[in-house]
Amino acid sequence: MKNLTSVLFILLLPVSYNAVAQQSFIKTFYPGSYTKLLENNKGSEFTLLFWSVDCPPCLEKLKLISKTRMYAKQKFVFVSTDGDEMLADVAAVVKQMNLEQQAHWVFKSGLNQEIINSVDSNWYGEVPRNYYFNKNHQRTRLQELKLKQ
Amino acid sequence: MRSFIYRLTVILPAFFAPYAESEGSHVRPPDFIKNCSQLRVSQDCAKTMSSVFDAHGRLWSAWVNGQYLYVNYSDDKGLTFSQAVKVNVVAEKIAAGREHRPKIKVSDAGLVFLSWTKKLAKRFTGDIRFSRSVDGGKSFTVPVTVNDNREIISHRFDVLGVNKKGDIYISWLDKRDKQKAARENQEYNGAAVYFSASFNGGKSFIENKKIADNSCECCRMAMDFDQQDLPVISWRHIYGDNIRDHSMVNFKNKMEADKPYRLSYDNWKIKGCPHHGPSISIDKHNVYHAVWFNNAEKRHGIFYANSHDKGKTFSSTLKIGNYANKASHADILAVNKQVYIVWQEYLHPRYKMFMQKSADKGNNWDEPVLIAETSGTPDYPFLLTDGQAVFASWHIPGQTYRLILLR
Repeated sequence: MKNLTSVLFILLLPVSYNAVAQQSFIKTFYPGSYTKLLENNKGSEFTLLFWSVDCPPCLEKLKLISKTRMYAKQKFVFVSTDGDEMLADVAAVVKQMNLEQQAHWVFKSGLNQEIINSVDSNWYGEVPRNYYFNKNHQRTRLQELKLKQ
Repeated sequence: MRSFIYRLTVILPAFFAPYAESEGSHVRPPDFIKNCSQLRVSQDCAKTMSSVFDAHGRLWSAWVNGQYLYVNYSDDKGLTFSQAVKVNVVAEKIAAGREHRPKIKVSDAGLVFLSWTKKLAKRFTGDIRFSRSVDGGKSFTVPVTVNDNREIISHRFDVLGVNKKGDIYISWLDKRDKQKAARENQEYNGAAVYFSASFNGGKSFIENKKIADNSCECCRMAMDFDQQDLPVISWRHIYGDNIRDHSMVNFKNKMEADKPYRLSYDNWKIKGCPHHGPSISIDKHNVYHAVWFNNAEKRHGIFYANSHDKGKTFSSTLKIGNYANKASHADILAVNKQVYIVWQEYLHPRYKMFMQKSADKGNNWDEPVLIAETSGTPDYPFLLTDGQAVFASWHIPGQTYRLILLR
C-alpha cells in the first residue's frame, strides 16, 4: 500500500508542479514589494493597476486593456488584491483576458492592510485603483485609463 | 480549562477594563491559533460568521466550511457552542466573503431562518437561497431559491430581516435588468435592488419586486424594521456619473416599497467596488440611525447620521474613528435611548476594534473606546443584543470567537 502511495505521489508530482508553474508568472506582492517594483522599473513610465477577481468593473477594465491592446503602447503592472490563496482564480482571469505576457502580482494573503498602507495611506482597498508613474516616478492617481495615442 | 478561563476573560465588561482582552497577554492559551487545515468542521476556522440572539438569550451562529452552511448555538454567551448542524445536505458553493456572508435570524416564535448566496457556474453569478428550522435548529428544510429570475446572472449580496410578527424579508442586488438592457443594446450601470417576503413563516415567498435601479454591485446591504414593523433597507447606490453614495427605502405597507431616498452626500466618485456597505438601526422611538463609509477626496471615513422623520431629513454627519488608521466596516445598534457603533482600525501590525456610544439617541457621543485587538486578520465587528445587554461580536479566523459585553 505504501509503495502504491509512493508511486502515485511520483506520478502526480509533475501534474501538481505544472499547475503551480502555469501560475508562476504571477509574483507574490509583500509589503516591501511596492518599493522593489519601483526600483525594478527605474527610469521607465508605467501604469500600476490594482484589481480583484471579485470586482466586475475591474474585469471590464482588464477586458478594455486586452481588447484595445493598450499594453502595446504603454507599460502596465497588474496587482491582484485577492490574496495568494486565490492564485488559481487570479491566473484564470489573466489568461481569459490574454494578459499573461504582462507583469502580474498578487497580494500575500493576510497582509492586505499592511500592503495597502505601503502603497497609499489614503487607499481603503477599493478597486480598481490605478496609478500612472512618469519616468521620474512622479505618481498620479487615474480615475480612468486613457489609451496612449 | 485554559481555554475556558480565556473565554471567560473575553466577556469581561469593557467597563472594567480599557479593552477586554488583547492577544499576547497572560490569558492567551497556547492553542490560541488553531490549525484549521486539520479540523474538518470548525466555526473558529470559518472565513466569516453571522450571529444573532433569539428571544430567550440563546446565541445562534451561521458559518460556512467547504460547500456547507452550518448552524450552532450557545447558551452561555459564546463560551461554548452546540454541535454544528448542516443546513444544506447537498453541497453547493456558498458565498462567505465579508460583504456577502450567509445571514441568520430567529423569530420570536423560535423559528430559525437563513439566507445566503449560492455561487453559480459563471463568475459574479448567484442565486438567493433560503432555509428554515421549525424544530429549534435540529434540522433545516431543503434550501429554496428566492429569486424568481433563474438566469445564470448575479442575484447576490442578500440581506435578511424578520419582524416581531415573524414576517420574513429578503432583499438583494440583482442584475436581471442589466441583462435585459444588454440584450437590447442599452447601457445599465450597476445592479438593481429587489426584495421578496414570506408571511407564512418561510413556507413560501411572494413574487420578487424591484425597489430601485442602479445600485452599486458589491457592497453589503442593511435592513431593520420601523415601529410599524415594516422594513427599512439601505444600500450603496450609483448617482449620476458613478457617484457611489447611500440610499434608503421605507415601505408603504408590508407588500410595497416606497420611493428610495438619498442617505449620504459625500460624492465618492468611483467606477469600481468600494466593498464597504452601510449599517442601520431603528430605535423604539422610530429614530433611524445609520453609519456608512465613503472615501471621497473631500469627505472620507466613517460617518454617522440620524433621522427623526423616517428619513425625510437627516442630522448633520458625525465623523467616526480615525481615518488615518483605516477606520472602516462599522456596525450600529440602537437599544432604547442608547446607540452603539463598533468599527475596526489597523495600526501596524494589529487590527483594533473600537466602540463609541451615545446615551441620548445619538445627540451626544462618548469618546471612542478600544474594545479588543488582534494580530490576526479579523472578520468585521458586529453588534448584538440579547434584549438586556449589548455585545460586540468579533470572529477572527483561526482564533476563538469573541463576544464582548459592552457598557
